Amino acid sequence: MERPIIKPLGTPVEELDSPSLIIDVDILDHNINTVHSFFKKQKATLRPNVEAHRTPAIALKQIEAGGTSEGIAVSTIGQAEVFFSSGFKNILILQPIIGQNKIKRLCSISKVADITVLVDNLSNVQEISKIANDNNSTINLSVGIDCGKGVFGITNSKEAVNIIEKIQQSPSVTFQGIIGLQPDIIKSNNDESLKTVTKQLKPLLDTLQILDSKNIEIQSVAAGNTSSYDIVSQIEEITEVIAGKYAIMDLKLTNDHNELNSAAQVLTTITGIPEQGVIITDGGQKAIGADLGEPTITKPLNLSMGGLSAEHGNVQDNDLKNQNLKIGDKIWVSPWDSGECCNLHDYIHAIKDEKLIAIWEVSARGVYR
Amino acid sequence: MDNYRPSPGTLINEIETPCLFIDMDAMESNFNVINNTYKNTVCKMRQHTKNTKSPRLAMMQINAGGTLNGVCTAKLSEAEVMVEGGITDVLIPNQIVTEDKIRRLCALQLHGDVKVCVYNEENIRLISKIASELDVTVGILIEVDTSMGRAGVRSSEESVNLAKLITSSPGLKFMGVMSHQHLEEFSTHEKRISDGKEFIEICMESKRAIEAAGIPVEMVSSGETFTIDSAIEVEGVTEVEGGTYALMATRYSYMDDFKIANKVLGTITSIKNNNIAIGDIGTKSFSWPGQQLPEVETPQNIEVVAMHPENCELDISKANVQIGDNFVLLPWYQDMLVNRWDQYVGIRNNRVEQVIDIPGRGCTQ
Repeated sequence: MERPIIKPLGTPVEELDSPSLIIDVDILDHNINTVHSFFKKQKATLRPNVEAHRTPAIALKQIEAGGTSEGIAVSTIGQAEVFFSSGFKNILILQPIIGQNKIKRLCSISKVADITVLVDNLSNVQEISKIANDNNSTINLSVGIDCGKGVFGITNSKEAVNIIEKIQQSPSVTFQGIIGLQPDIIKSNNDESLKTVTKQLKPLLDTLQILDSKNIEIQSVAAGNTSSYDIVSQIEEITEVIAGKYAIMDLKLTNDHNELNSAAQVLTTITGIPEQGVIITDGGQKAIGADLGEPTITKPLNLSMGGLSAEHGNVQDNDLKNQNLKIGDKIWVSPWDSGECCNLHDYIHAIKDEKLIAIWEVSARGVYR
Repeated sequence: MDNYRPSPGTLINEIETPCLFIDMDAMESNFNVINNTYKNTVCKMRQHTKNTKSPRLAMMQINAGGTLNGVCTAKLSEAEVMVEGGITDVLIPNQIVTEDKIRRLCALQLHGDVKVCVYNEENIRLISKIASELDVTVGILIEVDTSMGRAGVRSSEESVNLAKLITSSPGLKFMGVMSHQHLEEFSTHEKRISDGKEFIEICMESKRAIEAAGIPVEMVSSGETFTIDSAIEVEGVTEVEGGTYALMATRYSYMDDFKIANKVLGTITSIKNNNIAIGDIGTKSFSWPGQQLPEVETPQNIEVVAMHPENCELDISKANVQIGDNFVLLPWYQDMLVNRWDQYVGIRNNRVEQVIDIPGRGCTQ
């Protein structure tokens, strides 16, 4: 468990313990308001995927901002349990739940909350149906359709419909809807992006068409991610857009979305300047994360990240423009993937106007099962 | 935070996944290698617990032999965890520079002997000032850069100057010198041994220079997993800071006395087609430094072909695999993996033997 020195609220940010995950609440609120205001004007509603930050305090802001389905999405049954105990009662689990123990947990939480779980194969449907029936529980199922992401989901629409019909015939499970699982898009102009997304979602829309022709009732047709939230919502059939990264954002996504900014940074401290141009900090891979891409130094300017070992940042001042820096000074680092970074920390230091205003627990950090 | 505690006796295939587990036999075998290597030498192991983050595992190595009664930690908060776990002799081979952290370092001296490394005069003065104020004595070593280009003094002259400053500063006790070595992958066993010794010699030069200036040097703390066998051949090294060896990683398979003891158990959660299955281990739970695809230990004939944040893609074209089947992945680099988990599940003979907490997880401060 992370053990930072906890400073009083109001402490100037550069006096906080380091390395610490810092979120600028003004940027966070701006991002949330931008996307949620957009959805208030759409037919489709937004379902925040809180797996991106694992933090109930941020999820609450997202729900309060409006434009949502009044529910959230998570990745695991354990995350659903964590968010349920923070008061969230409408939860979509975006991965299949496999195995007797986990399905029993699903039955238990389904009795007190509105839970839907993704399925993508028949044997899983049958197992859930049997265990739910034994436990006097009813489980809502949504069928995952692979729209190019290549992880979960059925690729063939006829097969998807076949499973949906089996769900309808099985006891103790109800068919809720379909979920299109898409990869991120590289944005271009609206028409081109819409064309790309429509092509991605073809297996989803084909499935919907067959369901219509068979008069099979459906509650929700979900798809989306942050990269394409404003495009997917233009497709008439989509009732719900699932997106998570938009709240905190990160380097990976900001290039394509000027309307949103990176709210999370890691505050690190210079622990040594062993030779001219070489600056060593206390922020390495364990504090920032570099699994999917290298982080970038945002402050001071004109520094570059030479390398990130497990415990240290090796910062380069190649042009020697920062010779005034000394031991104890702060270096601000923006993670490439904020999802990984949040999962390394137990606490988020929330700041406004450069001062600490709250400490939020990353309650679902490390909850993988 | 995860708090999964399966009952001892639970069969491995009944464990909820993904699950970081320790092959207890393999870990004990690694601890015994250390005992055999160091039991008759003056130089001893000081386990680097940044790799295990568990006072319990540190104590198991101390009980197995070949070690000092102490450990290393990378960070101050990790040192607190070790002291709270009953291990009071701690060396932090790293720098503690901010005033509030130095205060915590001084507070730890009330319960233990927590030493820290320095290579900067200003840092020495600040530790001295706060230690004097709080009326404690902090043990200090000088970090010497031998090959990493990271922390540490770049010359013996610097070491001598700093040693003089430390010995004349109140609240500080000069203990010795410390170094870590940067060793790329090795062409041969001989090259690994000779490079290791050559680099550690740079640290020894500082030791001799400080002694020549009339200052006694009690500790020479050096080495890492890939110099476990070469550091003891350098006369004067008093302790070796091995960390990875305890749980091991595929990257260091050339250290073939040691077995991989930390593994992750996963479950096949979806089968896309005859060739590809999806597992529940992803980069968030496994870590992915260097983006090296992890090795599959079991079942045979399946391979990881891609990693995603929550999942991995497995090539199952040569195996008969069903949804719900388990598989085991081996880490390429292990301490980033351990830092993603709150417990180890200890497995022996395919059953849960014990659950061991990882209280140092996330202790980056």
